Amino acid sequence: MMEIKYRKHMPIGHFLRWLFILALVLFLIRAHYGSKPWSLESVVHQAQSSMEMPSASIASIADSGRGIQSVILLDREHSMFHHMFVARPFGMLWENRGGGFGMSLDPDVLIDFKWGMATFGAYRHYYYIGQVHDSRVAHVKVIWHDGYEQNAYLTDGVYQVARAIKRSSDDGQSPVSKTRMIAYDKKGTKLYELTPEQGEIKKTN
Amino acid sequence: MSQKNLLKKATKVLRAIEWALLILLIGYSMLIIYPFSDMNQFNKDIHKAKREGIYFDADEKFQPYFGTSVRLDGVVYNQKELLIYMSGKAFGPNSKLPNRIQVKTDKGTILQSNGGGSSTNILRARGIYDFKDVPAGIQSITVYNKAYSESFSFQIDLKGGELQ
Repeated sequence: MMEIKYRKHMPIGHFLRWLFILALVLFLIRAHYGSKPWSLESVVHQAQSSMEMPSASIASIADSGRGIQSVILLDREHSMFHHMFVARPFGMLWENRGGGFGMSLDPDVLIDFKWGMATFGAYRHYYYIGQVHDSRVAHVKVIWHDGYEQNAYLTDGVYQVARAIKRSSDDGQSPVSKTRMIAYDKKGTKLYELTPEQGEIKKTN
Repeated sequence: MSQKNLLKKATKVLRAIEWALLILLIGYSMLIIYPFSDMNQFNKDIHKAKREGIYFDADEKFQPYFGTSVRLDGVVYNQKELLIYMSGKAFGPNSKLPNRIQVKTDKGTILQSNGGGSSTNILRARGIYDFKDVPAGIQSITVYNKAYSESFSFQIDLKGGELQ
């Protein structure tokens, strides 16, 4: 008789404890990653609210390696674009890892080439981004300091590439100045070549 | 050992794990709700300013601003310097206070902030915005900010003081 009673009451205590544990885990996830951390749009929107900026749409996402993604946001209405790094904690959630906000979109700029960098752990994540207002440009190629080449296609008039480089291998010497970008038309003809120092070509009227 | 005893032992271990998890999670939640921070310093400073009669309490409602709710708590004005105390509410990791604020005096002068500080937990934040070398004899100010389509604005009288 005692045995039966014990077994009957046993699962309720376990069930209640696990229910509390689940509720606390959900609370902590909400506290750390914000509301709707499973939605990249929501995470991006919250990041922009923090910067007191209106919501922009996601133009493109590029893999930067080491679990970090690089995101370009476009806001044609206010003529600006933004860059953000996001991580994927637990492989399911999105987490804002900082960015550069409020770069201006200028129709007088035919093409430009900007860069930025953020350090996460042992890796420096470099990105090259730009806007294109020359309809002939079909894709760009970024040639990194060490000869590594990355192609990027235009999405909504912007392009990006990103890459993680181990800290020890680049310390003391920035890889940026040796990097260049070449823009091609549909047939593969070279149209522009830009470097971080000479990173913009304007319309000549 | 019999099967019954083994099951009893496993249940015991499971229960211990459950309690350990619960205590850890509750402890961690408490830490982010009540962090070891200088929130009390604000109250001390305000109390001191109240005794000197230079604190002006704002009885304001929270106004929505970029995903948070912000409110003017009060102002310290000693005829030379303005300290604006604000609160913000939002649950989550994002900022809860405006990145900057502007102050317009009753004479129409717009003042620039020289800095500030804030104290934040997971639910709310309190911030102070410092305006140095402000004119004497300000009767009232409007504390506001506007960015794109969102804005907030609070008005407060700085007359008489609250001598206590």
